[in-house]
Amino acid sequence: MKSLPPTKILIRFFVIALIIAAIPVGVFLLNERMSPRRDVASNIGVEGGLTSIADQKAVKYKILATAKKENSPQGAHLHLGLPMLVADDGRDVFICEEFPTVDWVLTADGVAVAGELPQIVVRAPCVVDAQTHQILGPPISFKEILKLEPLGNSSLEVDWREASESVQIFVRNNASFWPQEWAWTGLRFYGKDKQKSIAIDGYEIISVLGQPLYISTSE
Amino acid sequence: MVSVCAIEEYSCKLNLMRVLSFLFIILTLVSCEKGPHVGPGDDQRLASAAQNDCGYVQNLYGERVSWKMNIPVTLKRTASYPAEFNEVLDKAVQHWNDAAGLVLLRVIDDSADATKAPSKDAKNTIHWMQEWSDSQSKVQALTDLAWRGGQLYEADVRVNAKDFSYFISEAKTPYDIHLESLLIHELGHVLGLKHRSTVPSVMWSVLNGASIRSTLSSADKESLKCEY
Repeated sequence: MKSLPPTKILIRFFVIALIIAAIPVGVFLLNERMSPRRDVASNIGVEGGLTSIADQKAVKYKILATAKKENSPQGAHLHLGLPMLVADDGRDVFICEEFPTVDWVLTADGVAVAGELPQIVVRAPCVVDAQTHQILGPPISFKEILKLEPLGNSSLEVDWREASESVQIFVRNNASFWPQEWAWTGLRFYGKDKQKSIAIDGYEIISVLGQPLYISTSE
Repeated sequence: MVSVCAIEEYSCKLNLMRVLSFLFIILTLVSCEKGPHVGPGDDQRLASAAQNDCGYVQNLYGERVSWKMNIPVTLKRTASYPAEFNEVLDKAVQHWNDAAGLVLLRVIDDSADATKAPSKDAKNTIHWMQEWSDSQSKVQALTDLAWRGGQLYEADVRVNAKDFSYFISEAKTPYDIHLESLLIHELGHVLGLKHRSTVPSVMWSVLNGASIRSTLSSADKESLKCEY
């Protein structure tokens, strides 16, 4: 067998190394082309108030990007990222100062009755945890929710030691049973005067988290 | 690697080719692995539903929920369903089949216990309910749907026979409900359709007493085309 000169071997080696190095770039480009997922507004800063659409999207991204689920004896909690806004008087304030009430919306996955998906809305004060720099999630207490009659609309109140007000839970469930898996499908921040609000839907949540975030009734 | 290649060039090339092929296959598989996805955003939103709803219930990703290729849907008429109304159910089914131009739905009789309540058993059933929750007393009928991904696997129809009286051709009171219209609506739910409010449709959420709504609108027919 004829052996090649060392320089040729070296050139071939570098060519192969270049090809290998180019593969991830190629894969990235291929993925970008084939995947219809859009980029989220991760590169938009959070300076300024909600004066523009871009700011609103940036705030939404900030809220969702570090959102996480935590369980406590009271139930599951969905903690959120904590964006800062510029208030009307020009001060930098946490979102909770401008939007003191928050709704966390959960939807049953895989079930519909009369075309409607069962839904739970957990309404709580917007509470900042200065240490972790998060918006604290209220307890989503399925222990209490499951005590309700499954069929129909109902509500209950749950104490939450981190907040001065109790947590209100509204359930709209037309099913005659309790669905076991609930996905986080919405957030709504209400302004002080209830006129302004920031609404985030389930598609936006999935676009940032990459997949739905589920809470089981056993949590 | 250079020295190894210099010594045994052929086997070196072979090994490199194998490694490259392996890397290529793995990376291609990883890059092409695509689960359900949501749709693009707009000026105000980070993302949107994966699909236009077209009148259908949508899953968490915004994909339309339907039976896809798994048709015809076989609906079991339980023993609770009154035999005098069999023909009405068959006519309601025929409306949808005619509109689709194929057999979307078919009904068979189920001889199981008439008192058996609807349950999550992956069977599609229609029940004539003599017991009905007081909190839902204004609801004429309910259809439960269950799905995985975007694929329906169960539908149960419950007709409220406790709080309503039904008629076939002529209402005896202004409160009687036209059963064929009601069943057409519920079968729409069975197919994955949700309530409509902005276009003429058999899927309007309210069916008034003594009124008849038994003709599928162009919006209903368009909905069918989206999934079947």
